Amino acid sequence: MTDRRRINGPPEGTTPLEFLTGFTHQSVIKRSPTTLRKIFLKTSLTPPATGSAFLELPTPSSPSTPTLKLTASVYGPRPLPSATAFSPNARLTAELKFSPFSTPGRRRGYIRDGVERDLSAQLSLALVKSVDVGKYPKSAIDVFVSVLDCEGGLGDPGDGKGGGGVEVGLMGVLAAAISCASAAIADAGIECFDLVAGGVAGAMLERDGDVEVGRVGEGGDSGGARPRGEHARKVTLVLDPSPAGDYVILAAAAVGYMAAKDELTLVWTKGSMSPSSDGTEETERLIDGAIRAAIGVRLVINEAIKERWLLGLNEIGLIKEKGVGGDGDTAMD
Amino acid sequence: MAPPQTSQQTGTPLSPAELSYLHTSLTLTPPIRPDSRTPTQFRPLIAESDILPSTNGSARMIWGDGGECVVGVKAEVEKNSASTGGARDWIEISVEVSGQRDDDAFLGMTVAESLLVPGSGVLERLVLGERFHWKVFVDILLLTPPLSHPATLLTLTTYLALRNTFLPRLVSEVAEDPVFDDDWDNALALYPIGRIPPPITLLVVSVGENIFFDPTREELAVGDVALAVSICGKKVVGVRTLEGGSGGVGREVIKRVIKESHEVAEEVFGSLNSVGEGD
Amino acid sequence: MSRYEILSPEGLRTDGRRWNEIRRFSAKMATTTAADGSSYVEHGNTKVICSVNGPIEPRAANARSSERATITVDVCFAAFSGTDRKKRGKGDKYSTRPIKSPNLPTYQGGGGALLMGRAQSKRRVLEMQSALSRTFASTLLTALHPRSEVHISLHILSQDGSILATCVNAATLALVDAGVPMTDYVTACTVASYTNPDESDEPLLDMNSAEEMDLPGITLATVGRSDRISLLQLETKVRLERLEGMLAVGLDGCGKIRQLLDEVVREHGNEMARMGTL
Repeated sequence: MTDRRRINGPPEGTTPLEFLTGFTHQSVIKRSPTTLRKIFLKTSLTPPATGSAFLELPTPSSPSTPTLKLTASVYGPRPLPSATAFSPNARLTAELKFSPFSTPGRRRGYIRDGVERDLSAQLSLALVKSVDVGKYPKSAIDVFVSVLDCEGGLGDPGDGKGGGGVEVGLMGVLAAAISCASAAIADAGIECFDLVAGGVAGAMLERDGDVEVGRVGEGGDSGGARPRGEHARKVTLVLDPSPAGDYVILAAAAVGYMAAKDELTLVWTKGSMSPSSDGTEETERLIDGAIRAAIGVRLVINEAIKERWLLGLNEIGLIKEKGVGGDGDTAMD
Repeated sequence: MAPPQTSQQTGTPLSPAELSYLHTSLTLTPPIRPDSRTPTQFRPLIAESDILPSTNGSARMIWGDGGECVVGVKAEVEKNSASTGGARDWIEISVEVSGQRDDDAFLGMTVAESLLVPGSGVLERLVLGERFHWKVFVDILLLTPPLSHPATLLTLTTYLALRNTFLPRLVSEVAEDPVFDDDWDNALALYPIGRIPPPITLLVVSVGENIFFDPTREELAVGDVALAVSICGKKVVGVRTLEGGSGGVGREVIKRVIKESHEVAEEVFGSLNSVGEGD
Repeated sequence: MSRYEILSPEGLRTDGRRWNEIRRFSAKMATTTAADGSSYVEHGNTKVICSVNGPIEPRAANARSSERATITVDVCFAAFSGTDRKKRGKGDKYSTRPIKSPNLPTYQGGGGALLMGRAQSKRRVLEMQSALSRTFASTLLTALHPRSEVHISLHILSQDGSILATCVNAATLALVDAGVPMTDYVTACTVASYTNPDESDEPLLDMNSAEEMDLPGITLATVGRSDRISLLQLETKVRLERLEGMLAVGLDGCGKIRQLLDEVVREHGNEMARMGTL
């Protein structure tokens, strides 16, 4: 008599499963604070969309490595629905969606939550300033970004890293979404003033062991009212911090940066570093750091777009096949 | 740089010519604002705190342009549970805009981010012994459709409400179920004087060389960039870009905005703390 | 009977009032410039903010009538208005009348936690909205503004009994402020029926939430100085012979409220005349 409602184990004993310990944080820690992770970016992967791009960060060394994967697709310029009022500019809407399986652990619901709405709003803000919307009256440009996998989670409470730091997961997702969507907009052939690249920088608390983390928690207890010696906490500026990394980020900044124009389209900072100073200089340093990260990302976007363009020229026979077919994988040093 | 382009996006009723006029007058040195305020001057407002007896802390603000905001803070005892995890869940913020179905995610996130900045020490004050904690609900109600961006109004009201939030004093031991002192005179402030106060967010718009605080909707429409700068205590803890403005801005502008907001915040804190002392 | 005395042998109620006294009433008009008319009413611990827009072009097509203006009412309970904070789902509102729940841990001495079903609370809000809209439809001169809408939006910040009545009073003030043509003030109050230990009955004017929970009561609204009743709501059962006494006390109470509202309006008018806006 077997119980049909359950999946029974084999009648004879088994040895417990042994999972491969796939991912270690070794590679992340080895990265120097100013080195960016490798980015894989390829455009024109979604045929029905006018323009599209796929971004993976970092380029995986093995299939089990958790990475940030997202796709962006751009539709338009297409006519606005007839019910809407006349608009002399193109209306750019951006929607960022996490797929239900994107977060490690808990499954996400389909319903748009506050985080998604917030990120969507920031994304459209960062993009609209780069697009020449005046060129496309009465049209809509819709950008959809779908996050397929977000490496170490989003800093949801319960990730276990909340002690004394801010989470950079969302900032990383937003920065990657900006870069990817900007590449997709370029791929769609929509006229832009410049490409926008997203960059993140964080102020990382260096720690020799667990003692240092304990000290941060203590600092939280005292409410920062007690000034502490600077030697107790060494803060390093780290570009492109990974949420999977095992360190405490005290403050972080994400920017949308147009490198050719040297202009920012988006600034988002949070957190605070030292209790003694007023935080303005730190914020400035963070923004500068994020811009540096964005400049690095920009090279990858350039490369990806160039590759696609050469491929296109090749297809119509304008150039001979030569030096085409790279995977857009650009290493940052 | 074409200010007229922004007119449709922000929905101001001004014509391109009017917007361009406004833009020019704001870029002058010294700038001329339509309501003849100085760049750092706020619009007149009525503020009162501690208005609702059924809350732990409350405040109400009425802006000169008709914006009205009520904030109520309520605290409930909740069991520590492993599933909800971090202490970040202990403060819940909701922003309800009258006549709008969804909560405003952007505003809510801005407030939440600055409120939960590490090191503010507020979460530690919510601990009730070993097994329980306070859960604080901050409900922000924007009563009238805002004519200008509601961020400043909203955070100033929230600041006032939190500043006047009191929690009953715990009289039981650490390991017991919490029992509280019935006397409200013994209640503890959520943000005691001398500790880091609640954060505020200032809305700043930059036009040309000039920086304006508490911009009106029209000023936002012609601005180069609009930023929401959160300040907690004496520190800048968050910056976010807002809608408005065309094209990007140089990093120097943003740095200047952050610096100046920090200076203005001191003054704002001073005047907010004097609310309620008059009566 | 309940744990505490609703009416002491000396004839005093829990908050020290006599049977025919109303709670502290204060009201302000024109609290905001964003709406055509607005008011803020504090009745005891019940606090309501009201704003009126109109007559305006109807926002929804079904609010358009070619004969008269339609009156739409939005009632919204703030999450912090009750004793406990209300959890809420998407788009639903809160109830007016708390029902008792089994003992939940609460830090306030006595009182007991209040809880209400979500569906029930939604239904109650709809009920209030339609009651208010029908009450004012009979008093406003809606025929003067065909194909338009008068929108009344009410926010309850703090609830302590007599909520519907306070909403009516707040809406009246806001409508006066907005200058919507109406025949007279609509004023409302509540009356409870208390049973003495000797089985005789005694009407109590102006219920607070404790009385509302324990006693049967009516909400009634009258138009102006006349005794014409424009709203009468009874939510619990009450002996028929008691109703007449309750109505008499209620009409008297409405008269008092009318006087209070009139003072507020006149004061506001004088203020405006002084400021030179009239």
